[in-house]
Amino acid sequence: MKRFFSSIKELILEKKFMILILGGGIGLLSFFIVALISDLDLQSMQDIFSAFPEEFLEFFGDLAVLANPYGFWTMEMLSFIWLYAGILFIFTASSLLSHEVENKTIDLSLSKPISRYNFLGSKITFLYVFIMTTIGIFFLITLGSMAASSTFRTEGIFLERFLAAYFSVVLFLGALAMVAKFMSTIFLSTKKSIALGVMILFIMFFLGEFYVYMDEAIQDIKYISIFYYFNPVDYMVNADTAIFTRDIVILGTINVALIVGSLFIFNRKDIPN
Amino acid sequence: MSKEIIIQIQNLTKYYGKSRGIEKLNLEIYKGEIFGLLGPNGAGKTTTCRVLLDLIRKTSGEAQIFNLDVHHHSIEIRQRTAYLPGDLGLFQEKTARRNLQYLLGLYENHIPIRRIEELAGIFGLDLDRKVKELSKGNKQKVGIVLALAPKVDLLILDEPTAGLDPLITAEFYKILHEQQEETGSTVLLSSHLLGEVEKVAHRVGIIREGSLVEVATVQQLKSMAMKEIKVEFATKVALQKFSDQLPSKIVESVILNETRASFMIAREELTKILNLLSKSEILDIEVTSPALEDIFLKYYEVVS
Repeated sequence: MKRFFSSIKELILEKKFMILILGGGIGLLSFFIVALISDLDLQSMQDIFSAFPEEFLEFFGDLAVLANPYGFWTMEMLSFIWLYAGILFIFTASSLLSHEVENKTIDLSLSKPISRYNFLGSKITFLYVFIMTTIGIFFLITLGSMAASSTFRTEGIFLERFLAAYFSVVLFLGALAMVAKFMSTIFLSTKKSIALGVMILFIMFFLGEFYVYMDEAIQDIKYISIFYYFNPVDYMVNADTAIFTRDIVILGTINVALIVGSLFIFNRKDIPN
Repeated sequence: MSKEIIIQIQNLTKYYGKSRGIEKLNLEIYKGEIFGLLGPNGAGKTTTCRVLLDLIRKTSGEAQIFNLDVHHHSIEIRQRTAYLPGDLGLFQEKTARRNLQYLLGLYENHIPIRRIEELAGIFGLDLDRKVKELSKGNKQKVGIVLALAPKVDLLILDEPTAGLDPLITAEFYKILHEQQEETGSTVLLSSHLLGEVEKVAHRVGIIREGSLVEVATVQQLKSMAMKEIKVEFATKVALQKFSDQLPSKIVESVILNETRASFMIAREELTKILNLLSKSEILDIEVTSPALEDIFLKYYEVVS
């Protein structure tokens, strides 16, 4: 275990500024959105949105969601978190292992008494620490901003909904990053795993968000998309525990399957010279 | 040096898809010996080292270190082994000190920083510079400190002196030799530089196209080789007379020039030739053993 934690510590030291900058950056963006919402007349917005076509509103949520401060914040921040942070996590996940292969540092690391499970396991653990810390910083800044905003105070500060959204975001981004990590374990190449990770991300986004526009017979394809199991509006605005539980279970299973698959593949692979 | 076997390889084969890495390699390395694995690029030296460390998996055959299977007991083996890869990759953004602390920290036994600093001092390595700022030679020094710092039973060194200047190379071999004598550790030294291996290795294995073609001590290798004889005769007639009597079946590479003759002969035929020469008028004679390099090249000439 000493070697396992030693590897994680090394990665944290290496990426500490990246974690702070990314978490702080997204947090700052969230702070501006919260400030913007405080200045918005949500009642007038509701009136404006009610004139929009129904399909438009369906795509972005519904009228109640858009006119709700939590709904508006969730739409702006959490629904697009894959864009703000997800792509960077994919880049990080892709390079964690394959950079070591490309820079040949893996030979030195694996010639020491550390098992392949521990070696890759430490990188995967770091990936989740990275995601949890970054999103944690973002959520803390957001909570602080909301606590300072009279609009949100009037609406109420729902810590349990925040916690639910936090776990859901971590598992959702974790699954996206693990797809790239899985690819990186197969190909041991940063370029290939980033390309495939980003490609799969957009395919899943398309399937998970636009399935309603597809032929009804093939709409079940939505079930293979990670995006279909990420519904922060339902947790933040509607406090829908049934959807939250389903999403957490499925996203958790996807994460575990990708972790186990990566460890299994890496344990059987030759380390290229 | 005892007869306890530290590394045992039997019919070890590694194929990368269709291309050969090593094929039916057999080797035994004893406790306390420095074994030089010699061969040109692509012969299979690095593949052998990497299979032994479980970085790549064998296609067939058996390989054991400390009587333990290299795949199933790789962690126990690596706990007692230090490795210097031929193509050294270090963490470029970290200092040499951080690289060493992290990588040596992966061993179960604590390696005191004093030991790292002592070795760095000997090799003139600045531990507090980032690796990306170091020259190739200095990066190699980091690798050498990494290999020499832990107290282990086996060192696997793949082209350890690549990029080092002759003074540092000599210092490295001196320390390696001292450490090996002090601790009784075993060393597998892979190289294509015969001159270096010749000075430190107890035994040498020559690897060609993935298989060992010869394993012997440096002395044995030299004695297996032919002797080179250079003779200066008093007259052209004397040379011609000697040349006529020279048994063509036992000599090789005969060169006759004016009054000089040079040729190669097997060690056991030496008496015959000296008897023949004693009957000739000669001014000078030189009998030399070829350098290990020439013997080594001979093994490769067969292939080419």
